[in-house]
Amino acid sequence: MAVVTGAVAGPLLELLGIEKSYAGVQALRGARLTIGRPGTVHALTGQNGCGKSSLLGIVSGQLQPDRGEIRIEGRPARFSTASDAVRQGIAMVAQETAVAEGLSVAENVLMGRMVRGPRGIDWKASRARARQILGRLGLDYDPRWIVGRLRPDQKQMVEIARAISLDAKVLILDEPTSSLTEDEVTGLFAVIRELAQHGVSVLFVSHRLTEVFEISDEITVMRDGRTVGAGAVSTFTTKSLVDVMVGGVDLHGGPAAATTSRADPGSAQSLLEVRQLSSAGAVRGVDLQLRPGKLVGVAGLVGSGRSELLEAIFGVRPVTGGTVIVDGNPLRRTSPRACIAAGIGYVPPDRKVQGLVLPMAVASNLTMAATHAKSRLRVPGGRRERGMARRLADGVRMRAASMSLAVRSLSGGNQQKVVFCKWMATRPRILLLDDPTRGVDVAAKADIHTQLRQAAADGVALLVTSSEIPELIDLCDEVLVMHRGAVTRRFAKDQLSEARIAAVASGGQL
Amino acid sequence: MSHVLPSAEDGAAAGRPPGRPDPPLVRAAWNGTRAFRPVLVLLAGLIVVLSLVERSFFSLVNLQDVATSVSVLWIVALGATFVQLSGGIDLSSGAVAALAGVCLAKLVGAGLPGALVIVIVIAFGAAVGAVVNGIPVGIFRLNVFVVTLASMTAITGVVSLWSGTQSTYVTSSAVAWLAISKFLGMPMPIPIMAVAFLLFSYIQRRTYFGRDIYAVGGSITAARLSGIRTSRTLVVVWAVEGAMAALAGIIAVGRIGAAAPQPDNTLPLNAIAAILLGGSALAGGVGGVGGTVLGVLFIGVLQNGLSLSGIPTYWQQIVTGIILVAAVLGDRMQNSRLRIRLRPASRTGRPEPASVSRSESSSIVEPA
Repeated sequence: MAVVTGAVAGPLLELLGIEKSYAGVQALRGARLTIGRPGTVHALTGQNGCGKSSLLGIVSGQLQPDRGEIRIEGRPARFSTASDAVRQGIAMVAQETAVAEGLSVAENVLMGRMVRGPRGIDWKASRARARQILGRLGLDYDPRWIVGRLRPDQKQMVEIARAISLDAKVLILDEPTSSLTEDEVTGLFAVIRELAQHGVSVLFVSHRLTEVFEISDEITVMRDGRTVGAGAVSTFTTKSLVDVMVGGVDLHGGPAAATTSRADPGSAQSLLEVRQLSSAGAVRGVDLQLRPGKLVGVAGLVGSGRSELLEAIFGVRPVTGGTVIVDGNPLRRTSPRACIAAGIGYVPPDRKVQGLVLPMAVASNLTMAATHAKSRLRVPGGRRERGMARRLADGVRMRAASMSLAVRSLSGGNQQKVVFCKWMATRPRILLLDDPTRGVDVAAKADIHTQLRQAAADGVALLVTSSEIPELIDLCDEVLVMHRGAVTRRFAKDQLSEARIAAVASGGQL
Repeated sequence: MSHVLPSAEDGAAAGRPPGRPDPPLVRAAWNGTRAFRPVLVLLAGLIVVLSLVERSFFSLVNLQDVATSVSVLWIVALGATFVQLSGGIDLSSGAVAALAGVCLAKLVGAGLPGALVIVIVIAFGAAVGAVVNGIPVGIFRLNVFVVTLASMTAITGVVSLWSGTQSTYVTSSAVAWLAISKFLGMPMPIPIMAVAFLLFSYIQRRTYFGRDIYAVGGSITAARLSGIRTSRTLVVVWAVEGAMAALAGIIAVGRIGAAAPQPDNTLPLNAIAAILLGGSALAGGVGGVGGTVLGVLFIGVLQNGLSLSGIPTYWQQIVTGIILVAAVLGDRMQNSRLRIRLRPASRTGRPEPASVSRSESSSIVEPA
């Protein structure tokens, strides 16, 4: 890799005033990013939905900006496709690995560029070339290994090797650590440092503040589609970085959230207790208690184990240790059926696959869980059942012209209400909700919040996750923060603040 | 052919804006056919043309001929519809039917009473369906295509071995009664077909089990998370299909008077063709037995019409193939037109921002 030296007209890569909107939603409103010199590690950070992904799409040529300028070494550049960007020295490794599982390491690294001999592919030379590229990353992989048998982090390395074999000047890594273990992250960072020494700049996207401080030379922070902070890593502290990320929310003392009065805490017996619950690799020794009328929130980044915790409690994910106790009785078998029988409901994160049977009628979806234990030879849809479905749907102001329409034909917000009502129909005493308002509009969100509060007022114990911290602060009596599978911090109602939760979720100490 | 599971309340009124009076009965019935309208129109057209062109088509004898000629396909296709609604596909019904035929011949040869033999053979078919297809698919969650391809192949071999590649004559009054006797003047298979169809319609629309089949085929994860016993549902569906294949096998033996040493492995393929013509989705969760019987009748009437007209009946296969593709194409075109029409409406709602990360969905692990 030739180190770029000498009289460079401008910064290596510069994005100025980038704007981008999708169907009327403004994702970027004047984002900028500057990578000055070759061999820098540049962290791009910000909360979910701040516009990082859109900016990466633009810099890697997958998206076209509506407005703004891209400059490479001072010259204006235009990428109409991803291969345009690659030709100009910008290569990206996406968050989800894109490797050909059935092919060898050599074929993946040199995809489409195998060394040709007089009789087709020269395998010996190709392998040697792949080995040389991997060597530049300090990796000793056999080019004949089949990629499908590698660990996720090794597949990622193969992708990085492919990217640098294209003579990339800037390598973009989109949340490369989100699916790696601690040791694997160490290995990745060694490779990033190796690349930087060879003059390759790395644009590294992460939510995890400890990692940002560990690996990067420069930081760019985004919020609401704008660049709100940029500079050398030495100009930031954990606290100042979190401040910039969440937008200057007071670090001490959370915002006064409007809450309804509920039963006195502590007085109520715990309805659900989870002791040292573990699930291979994803959840590690979690303790929690749910009381009637209380909303407990779980905050955490993607991959922190918040979704997996709910799956483990509901018996969807194999439990490798610990117990789930309902009313003082440990559940002997954890399966959805056993949980429903014990009075637990579960609103899964993906309504289209996990929550609903899309081609089925609204009424059938609404009553599906409540009638799961009835004799299978009985006739469904009796008057009581119909009345129940109608009452539930009215309660959340759900608009469905006819209860016999396919759920598929409803809007996202109404679909989510069907999932919620389906569980309320089981008269649960404990309700687990994984990101119940994801992708629904503001009005539907407010309706669902009202219903959650109503359920709590009726004495249901609720456990809610959300990717939006303000939502949890608004709703919950207590928030647990998860990081790498474990609960790292618990905040009581009066301690809740967006900045603190964000900092702990990112692995920082406060 | 997007088709909603008719809920017990007002299936025919689907899509009708609330507040309007009930449409007259004829219109309600017509609305109810929406799911399988293409095959209904095709079948009606075919019948009109044939009754004009071929005098003999509309004779009672010929119509009874059409019905009895499709009796085996009809019976198998009913069971296969449940399999397909549950998200599966069955390639093994021909082999299971032949196996049941050989079993029947052996038991009758051993001197057991015919009525008892019929009951045993149907139970045997159910057991074969449950064990050979149901358990691998329902409990071990193996790929359904591979499982039924394997069982078709293996059972074909078993049939040859067990029968010694010899046709075995079956002389049993009970079997003859089932296949060739008359009931109220019509051949016995016709009331059997009618009863089977009514029974399947009832299960499909009027039982929780029927609803479970749609739920499992529509989204097995959502069904399981709602507490439905998905494995049991699948095993029972396959047992039902095995029983129906066995019943079809008995009727086939009764009509020829002998058990064939070779399965008719085009039977499951014709059943799939009839089911698809009838508007059921290949992926499961959508459709029903109402469309399937129309698909079966279409194949039967076409074959009958061609043979009446002296055209080689191979044309039936060519026409069925073309119409299958045309039906899928028509469905695709209708859906894309629908999408264009719906686009302005969706603009009023706030679209989900494209920047929302879709990778957040956590994996729901299906334990084996």
